[in-house]
Amino acid sequence: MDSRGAVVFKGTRDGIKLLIDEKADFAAIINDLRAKLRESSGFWQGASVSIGSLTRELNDDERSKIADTMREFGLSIASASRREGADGDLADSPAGSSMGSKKTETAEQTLIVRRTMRSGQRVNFDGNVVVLGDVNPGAEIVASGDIIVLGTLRGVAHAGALGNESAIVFGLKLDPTQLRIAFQISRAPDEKVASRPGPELACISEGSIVVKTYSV
Amino acid sequence: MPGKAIVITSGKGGVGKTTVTANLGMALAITGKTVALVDSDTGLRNLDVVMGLENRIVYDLVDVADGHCKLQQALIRDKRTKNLCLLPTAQTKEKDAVNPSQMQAIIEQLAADFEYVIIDCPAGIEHGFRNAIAGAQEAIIVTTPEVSAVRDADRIIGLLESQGLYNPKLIVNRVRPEMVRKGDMMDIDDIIEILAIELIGVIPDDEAIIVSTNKGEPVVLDGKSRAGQALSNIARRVNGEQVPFMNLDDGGLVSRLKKIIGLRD
Repeated sequence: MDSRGAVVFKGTRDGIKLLIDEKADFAAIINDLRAKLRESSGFWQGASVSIGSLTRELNDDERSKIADTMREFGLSIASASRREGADGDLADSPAGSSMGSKKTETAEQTLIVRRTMRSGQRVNFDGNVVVLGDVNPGAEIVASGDIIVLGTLRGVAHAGALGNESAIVFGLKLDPTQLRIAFQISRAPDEKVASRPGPELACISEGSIVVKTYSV
Repeated sequence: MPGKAIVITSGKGGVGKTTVTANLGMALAITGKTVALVDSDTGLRNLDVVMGLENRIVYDLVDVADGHCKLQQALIRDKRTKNLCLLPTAQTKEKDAVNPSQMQAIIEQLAADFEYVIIDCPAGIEHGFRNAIAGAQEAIIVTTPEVSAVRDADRIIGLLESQGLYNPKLIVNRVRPEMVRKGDMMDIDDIIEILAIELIGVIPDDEAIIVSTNKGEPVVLDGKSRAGQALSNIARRVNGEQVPFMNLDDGGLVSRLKKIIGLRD
């Protein structure tokens, strides 16, 4: 692994994972584990941690030794997953990790587009999309998560494109050609409505898309 | 020092690219700059007609690209000013008769001999467009104050950026101040808000343009035309001068009367 040691606590959407470096020998793993747990003892009290190994599988003996060590410090084992693919690297910081297995609503990855999107340009992303600029008419954003436009949205935005009905579309000014969330499609009313100043947020409420003025 | 190659493009057809090319070139030439105009609208050539030089065409852009003649043989000197030359294109061929790298070579050759090379781009975003921008260092986008034209211009700006042509300038053509005042026509601020590029000129709608294009006499040569005045101002801005924008809005009949009587509007 790297200088972080033979074991790493990682915060993920599903709770805390303990990742183990397959290259280290087992004694080093236990030592590192004890050292880390000692450093932050008290913080981990009562936490539920699942064990994952980057590439090699732990045998039962190793697994129970790790479990004992953790119990010593007040942690319990959630589940031991057999093989992890290399996770997206979240910072190994307690502040970043979600304690226990509290699920958050948002998808993990976010794409930041640091320019105005012009007519004919299109962003497809599995995750959230943030645009630092305008989205001009004729531009399209399709995201599985939320869409946040720090500018004026005049094009087409499709949030929750894989079916997530709790996805939102936010804009400093919402003036889209069409808004789509999950499987709902919506457009501005045909009669000219006075344009409302200020940021707005669109979401699905009681089965259809509603646009609300945004306030903190 | 090689000359500057500027492409005049729009996306939308009929907004005034050819008119701007011809007049920008003529205005720069009469101030003493050497200018080459290039028509890249192969198959639908118009620049020669608008310049009044169509009966002087012997060789064209496609002949040069194919190596049938030297570039010098295809260039037509303008009948009014010796500073201005035209490279026409073929009417009997299509856009794919030339490719971008041939175009780039020709533009580079022209830039070695002329202070300005102005390329008239065809409408669209396909092969013709790609040919026209090859070899250009700068771009001027022409639009009219209409939603469809602005939409197309926005697309073009995105395409130019993806091809490495940044900071295009904007000309808004065929503006009718009375309609803008009544709210029937987009005003310049609305257009800039969407396109977000630097404005280099606003040209009023002027019947003199129709007359001049039919006659083959660029309107900048007509001292009485407001559009001609606007185009001359654009040429001066292209040349680096700071020229204030013309006040197109003379206020309408009532305020004109008020001005005559001496009352404030």
